[in-house]
Amino acid sequence: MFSFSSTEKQELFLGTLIFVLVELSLYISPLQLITAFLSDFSFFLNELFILIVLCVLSIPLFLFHELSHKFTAQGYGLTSRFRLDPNFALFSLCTIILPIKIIAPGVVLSSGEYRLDTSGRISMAGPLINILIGGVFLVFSSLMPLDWAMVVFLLVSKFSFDLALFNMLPFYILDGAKVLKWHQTIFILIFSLSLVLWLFHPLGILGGFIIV
Amino acid sequence: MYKLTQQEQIALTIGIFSVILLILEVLFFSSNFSEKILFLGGTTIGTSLIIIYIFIIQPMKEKIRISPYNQYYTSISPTFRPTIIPPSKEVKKTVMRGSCGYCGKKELMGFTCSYCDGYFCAEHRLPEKHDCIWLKNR
Repeated sequence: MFSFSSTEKQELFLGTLIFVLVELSLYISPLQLITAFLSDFSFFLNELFILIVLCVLSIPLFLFHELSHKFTAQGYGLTSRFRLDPNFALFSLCTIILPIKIIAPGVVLSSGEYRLDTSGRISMAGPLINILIGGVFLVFSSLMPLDWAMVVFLLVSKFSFDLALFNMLPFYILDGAKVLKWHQTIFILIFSLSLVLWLFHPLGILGGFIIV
Repeated sequence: MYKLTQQEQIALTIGIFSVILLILEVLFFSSNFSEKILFLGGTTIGTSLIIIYIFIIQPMKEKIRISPYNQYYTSISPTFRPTIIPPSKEVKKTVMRGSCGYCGKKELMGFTCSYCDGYFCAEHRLPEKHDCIWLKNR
């Protein structure tokens, strides 16, 4: 249980790096960063510092998501490993410069004999871990004495809920489709939970108007 | 559809109530900004921990696995839910020779079906291969 191959570790590292880069581009685009570097250097340094903090805090979002799929599958006695898809990874990297971000550098593949509910449980583990991490960062943000630290923690929790909601969409090979195939009510619960947290988040669409 | 256990039903109800509570709290109750964030975070952590424990960790302890036999029936009939029958304490008389109850082929070392007690050849020993009465009655 909980075994990794050296290739898998490398692929997980690359996947996390791609995720962090795409997530950071949500905060500030590469063009804005270059403009800041050329025009206002003190502002650039300030942004760079926040980017580094965001980068470090964003690592667990992707890593724990994929590992939760892997460990759950292994917990059910299946063989499971993370595989980096070069085409999807490249496509995800390209979205750094695009307004719409898609983060799907790889997927956790499980093999063995398992039934529909086991597949659903493995799929729901990832989004649930993201919801949990998002909640933890929300609590931390409320305890932060500094304004910038509070905003950074809020941003990370927003990224976490983004990831949970995106993965819970019931399309294609996303986790939501597998959970929906297993049990409709459970899918509705997790999807509505991530949707509510995404909408009512202080930096979210409705949260921006209602809370702040 | 998968039938939820009692614990799973309770966890599901708690989860639905939490979602409603989150909406109500954000829209109508506490006015303080950090209080709202703290409440959002606290409710999220509590709900997700309950769901993770009941739906993922608990079944993992029970080691939910399925044999290829069960998977075969689940694939052809999604409503089919096999149950594990404890082995009978009755001493069964061992049949050493006879003919297969399905194809009639004479078999010296045949197999006795643990569900219908019929005697079958190697080819028809599995319940799905000999149209087992137990399967039809389910």
